[in-house]
Amino acid sequence: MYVTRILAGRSWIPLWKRKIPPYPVYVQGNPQNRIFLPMFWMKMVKPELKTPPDSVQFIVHPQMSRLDVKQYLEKIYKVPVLNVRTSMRQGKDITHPSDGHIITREDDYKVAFVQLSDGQTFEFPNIFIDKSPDEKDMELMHKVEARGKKKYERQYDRASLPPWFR
Amino acid sequence: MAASLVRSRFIKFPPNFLYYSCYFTNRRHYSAQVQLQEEVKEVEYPPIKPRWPPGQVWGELSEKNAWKIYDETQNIMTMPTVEERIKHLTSNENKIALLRTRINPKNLQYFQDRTKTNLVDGLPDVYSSMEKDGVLDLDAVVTRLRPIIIDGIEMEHDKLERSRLFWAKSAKDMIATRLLLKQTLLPIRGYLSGQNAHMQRSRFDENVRVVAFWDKYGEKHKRIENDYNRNARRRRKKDEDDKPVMFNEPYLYRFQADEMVPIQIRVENPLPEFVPLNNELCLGDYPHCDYSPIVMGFRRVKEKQACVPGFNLGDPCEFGLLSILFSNDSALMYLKKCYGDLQYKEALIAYGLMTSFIWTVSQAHYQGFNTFLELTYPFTTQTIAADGQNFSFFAYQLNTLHLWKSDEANPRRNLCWASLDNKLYDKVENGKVKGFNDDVFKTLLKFVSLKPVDRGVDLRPYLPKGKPLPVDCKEYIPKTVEKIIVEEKIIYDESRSN
Repeated sequence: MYVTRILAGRSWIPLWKRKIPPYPVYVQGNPQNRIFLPMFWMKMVKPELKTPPDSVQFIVHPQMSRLDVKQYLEKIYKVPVLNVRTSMRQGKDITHPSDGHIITREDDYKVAFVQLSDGQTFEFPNIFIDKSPDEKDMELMHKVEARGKKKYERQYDRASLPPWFR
Repeated sequence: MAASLVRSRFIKFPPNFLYYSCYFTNRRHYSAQVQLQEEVKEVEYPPIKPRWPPGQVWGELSEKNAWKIYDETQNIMTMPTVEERIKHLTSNENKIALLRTRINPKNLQYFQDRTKTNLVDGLPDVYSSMEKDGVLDLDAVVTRLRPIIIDGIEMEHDKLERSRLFWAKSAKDMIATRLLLKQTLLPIRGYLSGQNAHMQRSRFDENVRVVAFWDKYGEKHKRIENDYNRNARRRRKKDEDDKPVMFNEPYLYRFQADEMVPIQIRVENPLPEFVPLNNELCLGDYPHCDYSPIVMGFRRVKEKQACVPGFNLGDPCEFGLLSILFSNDSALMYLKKCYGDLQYKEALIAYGLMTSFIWTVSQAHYQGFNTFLELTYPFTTQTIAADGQNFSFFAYQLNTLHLWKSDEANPRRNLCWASLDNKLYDKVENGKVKGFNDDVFKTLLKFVSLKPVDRGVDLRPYLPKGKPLPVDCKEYIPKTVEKIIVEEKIIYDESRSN
């Protein structure tokens, strides 16, 4: 994910990350403004926990409210929505590759849990092809090899002894 | 300053210091010489245990945790009072899942899974048999009470004007229903208490807080940390071994729920059991909805754990007869407005189910049972959710508290009967009630006049027999502290001084 914390001093921020301009306050009698292309976006993600079949999970623009999410789905995509819940999540730590201390965090993000109505269900598709059993075996073999290598490196000074006495 | 900076730059260890630490340690030296040790004659071994603790079927629990639970049960058995037991169980300050009714839609199945209850349509056979046995002469009571109650309803609707008293609409509705229900309930209670001794000695409470906690078995969930304190997570990893069993297992959750019950009636003896424990309903399958509480819209928080049935220890009336809820509660009406009529009906059932479950669990705690000590007899209560006109009746039977066991190990389930949409009258026109329904009124009478029974079993099997019960206690205020002054002569050792 793109880190805006580093770019905080600079002027350029990607368009989809920018703050949404405030909507003018409506006073009775004034002409009503309409927004045809809002700066909202929603990204469907695979849920981390086991979820019921009628629920869908999104990562959304952090300024979007529950009502925004509901209207976005109902009016543009014609999907019936029963309930929406949102919560903020902290971004992951970015550590120094060799030193190990935390440099920055990734940006915080908003997650929206959507409950569908009218008995509609959704299952997140399996995008990646499953690995074949041969490939899984090879992976396991590499893992075991690496573990042995590490053990051997640790005992480099006792290489002259037979392995039983190391 | 500069020197310290330089030094720190040189002495700073890399993050993977532990990995390289083997290069800096001293080498080992080997020799063929063997040091002779003195032989220890008395060899001490740990006591021999069987693999699984005796007395129960443990299901999917690991052996280590089964032994931990076995030790805790015996530890709790030694505690003589209920206060100590509850204090011990609620002493740990870990995160618990708070369940709240009337907040989210589509939660009924989840509540059923967490409390392990089967829903049954209609009412149990106890009420239908009440007419046949001739315990109550219902027709005579109905003819006597009908005009009084109709008069009360008319008075509340038309003759009294209280629109100016309360500004908020929700508060106005709630107070109106409270008065309307009192107008129907109190004459019944007053009339029946002349015939029945248990009604005379019953207690009538309003606005009672009811809280209970329990432990439930479920599938393994990954725990997502949503808190912003990273250091707390590191600390938690360190303390994981010291935690009690219920929080160490990844598939055991502690739940808590609390409700504000508008009206409650309590009696001295427990109500009769609706169905014996051998019945098929108690062993049947129940709807599974095994998800993490975070997915269903609840939170895992550090909340103070409590067990409150709505009365103090030592009250003579320790068993529930009836609890009355408002079906036009402000939270419920908001839910109806947002999600529709079908979701409202589900939420109403969940509301009735959860309140009766909480109350029975907290009553069981006051009789000496808890999550470790299983019930020896079922607890039963009745609840009514009403707005004065529409009545929905619930009857609940608590069969188990061992919810932390897997389903195969503990086949018992709890039971809840529900019958909705019973109209007491059709409407009020020109200050007069029209279409008064006698059948609904009769069920209401049966609910209030259900007789508690001496079941013939020991009600407090896990509490010590010799000590007086809190019910029998007469001196509630402890005696004043007496100061005892002891005077002793100080004897000096004279030989030293010389």
